[in-house]
Amino acid sequence: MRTSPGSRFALFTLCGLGYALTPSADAQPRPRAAPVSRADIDRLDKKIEEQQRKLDRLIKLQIQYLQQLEAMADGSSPPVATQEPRPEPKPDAAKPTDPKPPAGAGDAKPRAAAVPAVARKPPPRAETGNVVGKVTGASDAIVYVEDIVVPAKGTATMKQENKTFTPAVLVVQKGTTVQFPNLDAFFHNVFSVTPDNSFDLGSYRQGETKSVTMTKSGVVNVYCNMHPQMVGHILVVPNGNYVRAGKDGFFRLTNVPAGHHRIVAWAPESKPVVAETDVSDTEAATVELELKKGHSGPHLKKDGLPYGSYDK
Amino acid sequence: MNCRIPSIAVGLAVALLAASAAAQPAAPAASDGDAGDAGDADQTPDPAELASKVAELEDKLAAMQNRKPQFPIKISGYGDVGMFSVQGDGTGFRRDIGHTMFPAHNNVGWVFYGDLLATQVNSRGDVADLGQAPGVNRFDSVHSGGELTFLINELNLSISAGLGSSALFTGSVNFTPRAGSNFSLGDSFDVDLAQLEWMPTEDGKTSIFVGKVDSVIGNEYKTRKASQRFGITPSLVARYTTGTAVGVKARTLLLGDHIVLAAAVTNGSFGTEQFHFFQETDSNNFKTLSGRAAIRLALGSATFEAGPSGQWGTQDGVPDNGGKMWFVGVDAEIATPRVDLKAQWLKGKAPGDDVTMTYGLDLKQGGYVEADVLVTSLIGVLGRAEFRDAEVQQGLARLYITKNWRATAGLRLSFSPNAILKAEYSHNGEYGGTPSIPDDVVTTSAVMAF
Repeated sequence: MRTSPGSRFALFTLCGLGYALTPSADAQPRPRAAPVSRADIDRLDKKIEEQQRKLDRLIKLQIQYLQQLEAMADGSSPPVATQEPRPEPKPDAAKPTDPKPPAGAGDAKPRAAAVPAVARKPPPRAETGNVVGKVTGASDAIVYVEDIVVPAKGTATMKQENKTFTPAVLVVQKGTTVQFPNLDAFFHNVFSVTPDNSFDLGSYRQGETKSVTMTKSGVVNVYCNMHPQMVGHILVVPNGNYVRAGKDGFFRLTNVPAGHHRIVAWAPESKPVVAETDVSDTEAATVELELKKGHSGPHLKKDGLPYGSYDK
Repeated sequence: MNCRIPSIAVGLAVALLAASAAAQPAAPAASDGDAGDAGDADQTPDPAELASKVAELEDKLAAMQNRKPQFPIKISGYGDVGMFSVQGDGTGFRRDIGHTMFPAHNNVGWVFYGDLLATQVNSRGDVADLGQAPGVNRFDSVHSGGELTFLINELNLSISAGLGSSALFTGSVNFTPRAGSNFSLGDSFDVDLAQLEWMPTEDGKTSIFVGKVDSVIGNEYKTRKASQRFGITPSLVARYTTGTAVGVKARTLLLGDHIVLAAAVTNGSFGTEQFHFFQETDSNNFKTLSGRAAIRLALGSATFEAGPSGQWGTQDGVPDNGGKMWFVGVDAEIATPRVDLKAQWLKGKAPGDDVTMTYGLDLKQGGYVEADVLVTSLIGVLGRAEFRDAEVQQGLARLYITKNWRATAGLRLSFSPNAILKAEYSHNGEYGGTPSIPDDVVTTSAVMAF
């Protein structure tokens, strides 16, 4: 049979492509495993439950150990836990179990997204660990894990009342929509010129609310263009792994996924500081963070002009 | 035949390439490939160095994003349009013909009673009508005769320029369209403010002003403009305290903002009265010194501020440093989120000058109490009670005797910070034996700011 050069070329090409597209032996579907009996499943479930109990016990012991350490550092008797140990997820639990923000912290109420370390039914859980440490240089510092991004879709509120922002410091998870209701009988003009999170809500009256979705992590300084004494800070954290350090500076971040992480501390009027640490499920990682006071002079209006003496 | 061999070769090559590509495991991540390159191992950058470089770049980026115009400029202003009506002929004074009312002053040529500036119709303090007083030829800018009339009270244009974060230039010019006469235009403009404010301290709580600066006496000057004033008309003593003067001024907040200190050295006084108790340029070498000290306290959500203020210097308008002119007063203000209560009392004297026929003033006392209430964010109401007991004299030629009181009620609608509608009714009364003059005022103002 006579063939043309073109058809021979096509034939070789097709052969090559056919070989290329033939699934390799590794990619072949594995032969089906032998059918598993009900007894096997029960036995495995029992084993998993047993492991889970051991793990629970281990975590509780570790928390107690950390509390003892803190108490020793304070020189006081072992404290009552300021933060509830992270409850272990029940089989049907689907709620996030990250640590509750301390009272009065002004944190966003709904923390819409769960911390990735949260386990769901069925086990096994991801490996997590704790980070403990102390922040010096400022009280009421917020500490969070910087390099895990878990956006939320919740809402938070920063009110304008009596020519002040309430709360003055708000911690929200990235993706949170912050509402700014005006409760004063006069107009306000909320704005921020923080890079990546700048906004200008314009002037609006009592009873009106305007909102902004925080899409970038970091500190957002919020002001009123009419009232220079109004200063607010919104700390946009990338995930739910954050906690407010105690007055003594000690903090504990729990259920941090194992691995190398950047831990950030920030407080109003201070620049954020970062420490890197390795988190494992065997031992709590320890970091020390020293905050330094940043520039705390007067801020400018939204158009870059100083407020002037009589505005103050 | 000749082209067969190349075709076969090409076909084989393509087939082999495709086959080898499929046989290869998935390409590893670039970093994995780099890691496996032993030859580059020594050149692997130090992580700390990399982190430092990243931080440096982040800082540079932040600095770029934060970069603002070197001299930010803002142009603002407002238009103030109103309508008013005044009882009688629009004037607030009458002549004591034949010295029948005030015989004790029968040595003075012309004696008048009432208040020349009682029938103020706008925030500038313009009066509805200056009347036809004998012996003078005044520019009666409104000259309404008391009739119901619209008036463009003032057009204002302001410019603010930031000179860095600690210096601010502010200029403000007023335009006042008015009726002319005898082929001359009545329109005028005046430079209201032209000051450079420098804040030398890092906390920004101390300011030094140079130029044509705001007053330091009392508290009414802070809201003297139509766009700032809660109501429409100024108080009866505003004529001595709300003007601007050329010179230098300093203001500071001390002890956690609990103490407010202000002082100024200017050519003349901080008056606005058209009897010329103020000067743009000085006619004498002695400057006018002014000061105010106040205490400021936070009482829950309210703020209380009170303190004395005063002024002393050579009489405005005279060529020598002889006669001294002074004012002294005290003011207080309680500001809550909805209610602003303020009060001021003032006393002062200027000797005048018989040679240059400069007016002298004997402000026995004057003052006001005002309550500004925000009923809602849209609706505000105000009430003000005030009085003025004064004599203004020009040698033995003219004398104005005033024992006047005034009660004002006002309504304010704030549609936005830039659109405000105001209305006021003022009853002007006389006391101390001064005959009553029908000169009540109803006035309105629509302020549109930008």
